[in-house]
Amino acid sequence: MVVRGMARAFAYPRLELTRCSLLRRLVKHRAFQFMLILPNLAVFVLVLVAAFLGTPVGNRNFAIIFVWIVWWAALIILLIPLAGRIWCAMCPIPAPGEWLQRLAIVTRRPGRPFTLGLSWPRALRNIWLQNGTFLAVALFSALILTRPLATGIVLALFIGLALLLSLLFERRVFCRYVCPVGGFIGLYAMVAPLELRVKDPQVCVTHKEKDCLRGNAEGYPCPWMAYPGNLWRNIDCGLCTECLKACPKENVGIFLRPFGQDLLLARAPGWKGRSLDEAYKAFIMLSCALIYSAVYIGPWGFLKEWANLSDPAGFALYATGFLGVNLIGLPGVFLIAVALARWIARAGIPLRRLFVELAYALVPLGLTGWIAFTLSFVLVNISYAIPLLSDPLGRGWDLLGTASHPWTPYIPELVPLLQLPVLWLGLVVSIGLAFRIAQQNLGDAAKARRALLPIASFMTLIVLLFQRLYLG
Amino acid sequence: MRGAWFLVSGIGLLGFIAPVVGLVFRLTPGRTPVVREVELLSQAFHYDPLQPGEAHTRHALGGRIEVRWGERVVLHLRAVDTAHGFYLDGYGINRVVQPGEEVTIEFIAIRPGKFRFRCSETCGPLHPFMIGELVVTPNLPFYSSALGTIFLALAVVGRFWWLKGEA
Ligand code: SF4
Ligand code: SF4
Ligand SMILES: [Cu+2]
Repeated sequence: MVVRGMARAFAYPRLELTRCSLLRRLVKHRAFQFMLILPNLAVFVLVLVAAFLGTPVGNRNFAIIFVWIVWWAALIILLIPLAGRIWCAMCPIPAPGEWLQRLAIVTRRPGRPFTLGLSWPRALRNIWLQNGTFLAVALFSALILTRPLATGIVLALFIGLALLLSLLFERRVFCRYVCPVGGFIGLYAMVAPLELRVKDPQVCVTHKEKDCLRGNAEGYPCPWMAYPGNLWRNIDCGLCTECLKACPKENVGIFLRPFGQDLLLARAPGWKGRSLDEAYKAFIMLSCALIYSAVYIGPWGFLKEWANLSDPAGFALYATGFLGVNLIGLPGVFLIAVALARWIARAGIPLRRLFVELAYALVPLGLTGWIAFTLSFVLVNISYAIPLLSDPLGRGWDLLGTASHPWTPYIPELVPLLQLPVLWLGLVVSIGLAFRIAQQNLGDAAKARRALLPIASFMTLIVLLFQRLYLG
Repeated sequence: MRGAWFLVSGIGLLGFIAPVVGLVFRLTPGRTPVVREVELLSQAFHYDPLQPGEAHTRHALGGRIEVRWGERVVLHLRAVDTAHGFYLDGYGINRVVQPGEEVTIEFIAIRPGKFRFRCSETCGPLHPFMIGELVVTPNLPFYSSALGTIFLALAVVGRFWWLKGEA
């Protein structure tokens, strides 16, 4: 069997969606991204107004319900699994900074961008910072998810930081290296069946001008600092469509493809290969899905009080446990599984290398874990959104006549029946992926089969833990 | 080897069908139900089920009530600090209790499995996460689906071990 992803680029079937001339004209239009951002910006402004001026009661405030239930569920259940980083294309948070940099909103303004234009420090050109910002937000999630003011402050901080960084540094460094949301969207976007790529990498090799890198009259240089000719994974591209507009060779397209191809990729030109920062993103996300399932959906009052900062000592314990599981506990147990795998497969590859490589197999399981966790509260609490359409600030208005709609959980007792197939899908895909990654690293199928045993056991254990929390 | 693989996969799939049967159909054993009385304290943001005669502790280790399938459950619901609600998944029961009063809730545990009860009266920031558990034993959906998970994993691993030539 030929090991996929090693030999040639795009060793999988792709269907170019931009062959459809209507879609191509749409995405090549300069106003395309702006039209995506605009409705989100409008909602975002309403979110900020509600957060700062609305009722402090979370479940009666537009900001809490529309960000943490409606937006979150749409992001994790639909947008990421189906369209990858599409949210990054429509996100209002970096928009003010980017518009200021360009001194333009829609048009391509030629000339120097309005920024000091520093380049991002080499040591930070990875997602470690995003791992850190995510953990920082995640640690205080009980406050942020339930207090409109806290949500407002966090979102305002994001906007402010994005603006500041866009004035200091070139392009969208906030999105690429800092944004806590961008980190996991990128990781899980690699699962999506949608990609923006070049049609033929050979065309780029011979195209000396490389308009996508420098920008031209049609498009800005890639805001995500990617070079489409060497773009292989969704994590590196924010789907802004600038290169699609700029490329004079019509060599960039949007493609439909089988799920998860980026995770099978082992080596590619201009890419350093699988790395520890992304491996840790996979651990952190998986750990958080488990911890949140226990804290928020579980019956343990003391956990909720600790997470809620009700007493400092309790929170200190919670923080230690939370960071411990994320950074040491779960990666540690996985390391033991990898060490076992390496031993029973009699593999010569360094342990650290194999640990990083196999961690990518946890990505599908992590995503399905998050979908399952989200399912456990979205159907139960989505009805909070109905009265808010009439009374977004919780001030007793009744704009659409829905203000008195009562909280109504939808099929709460059947939610486990939705969670089980989702978790099982993740388990099946993750085990299959672990086998392929093992094969890439160990060379032959017999070794990969043996290495699979402890890794698959680890994954099964994770699913059983989720099941214990949801059904047990 | 092919046969083994199909067998294992089949058992894995049964693990999913069992909870479907358990959670979708209401099944009531024919005998006269045993009565199970539970005192349930509600307090932001958890529930404390008390055994008869047990004193109230501030931190509930877990707001979990275990009853047997077919039992008649009588809950005496009280609120410690402020008004709280009690919404029971799968039963459509929704009651509110004020501090100082006692609300009695009665139902027959008609299905095995875990059913959450949730606060339905806004009581503070973590109100949407104020959740307790009613576990109706034997918890067939959990045990059968856990078995399903194990067999499913075996089937996937087995695909690489047993169906080498065909993979
Ligand atoms: S402008 Fe087009 S052809 Fe040239 S390098 Fe960029 S993507 Fe490739
Ligand atoms: S690769 Fe193209 S679409 Fe992706 S971020 Fe860069 S310019 Fe935008
Ligand atoms: Cu409440």
